Amino acid sequence: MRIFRSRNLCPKLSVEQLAYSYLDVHITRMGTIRKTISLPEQIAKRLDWEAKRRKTSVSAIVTELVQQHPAKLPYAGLIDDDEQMSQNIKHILARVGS
Amino acid sequence: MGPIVSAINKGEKRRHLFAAELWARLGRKVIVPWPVLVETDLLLRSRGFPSAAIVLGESMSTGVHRLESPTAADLELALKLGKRYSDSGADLPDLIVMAMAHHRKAQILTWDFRHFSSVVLKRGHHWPLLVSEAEMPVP
Repeated sequence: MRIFRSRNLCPKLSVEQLAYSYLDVHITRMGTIRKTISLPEQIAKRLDWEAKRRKTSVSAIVTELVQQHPAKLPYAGLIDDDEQMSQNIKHILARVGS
Repeated sequence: MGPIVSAINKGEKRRHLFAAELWARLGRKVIVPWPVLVETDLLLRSRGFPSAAIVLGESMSTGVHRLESPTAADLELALKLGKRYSDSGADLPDLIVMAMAHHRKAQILTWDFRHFSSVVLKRGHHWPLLVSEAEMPVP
C-alpha cells in the first residue's frame, strides 16, 4: 500500500472513484489475479449483456467459460511404462530399497 | 494413487486416456492428499522417471489439483482403521485417503478396489467410489 505523506502527492479522486476503489478492494477474493483483456466490441457487448442477464460479473462468466474447456494435464502421458503399472504399485514400491 | 499413475503412464493405453481425461475434467475439484503425492513421486523415481516426478510436483504446486495435508483428525481415524484392519494390507496412504474422504464427505478415486472394500467404517458401510471396478477400462 502506498502512503501519501504530502497533501500534494495525494491523487485527486472523486467520491465515486474512492467508493469504487474501496468496494473493489473488498470484493477481490484471495487467490484471484486481475487481468486486462481486449475484446472485439461485439463480443464485449455480448459479455456485458450476458453478465447482466445472469446477474453475475463478467469475471464469473469468463471463469465459467474457461473451466468448460479442461486444461491439458501437464503430467499426462509423460512416461511410457508397463501397462499394468497402476495395478502393481504396491509390488513396485515393495522393491524400493531392497 | 492408481488413477494418477494411469494418467502419467501412456503405456496403460485406454486406461491412461480414461484417467487423463478424468483428471483434466475434474481439475481443482480433486483433492490430492500429500501422502499420495509422496508415494507417486517415490514410484516414478524408482522406475527411473525423476523428471516426470518433478512435473507432477509442479502441477500440484501450481494448483492443477488441490493438494491437501491430512489433519490430526485424519491421521487419528486412519490409524484407528489401520489397527482394526491390520491384516487387510491397506497402508497409511490408503487409510489417509479413506479418512480424508470421510471427513470431507468426498468421493474416492482409486483403482485399489480390494483394499477400499476390505476396510470400512462400520458394518454395511462402503466408500463412495467415483469410478467402480466395472467402469475401469483395461489397457
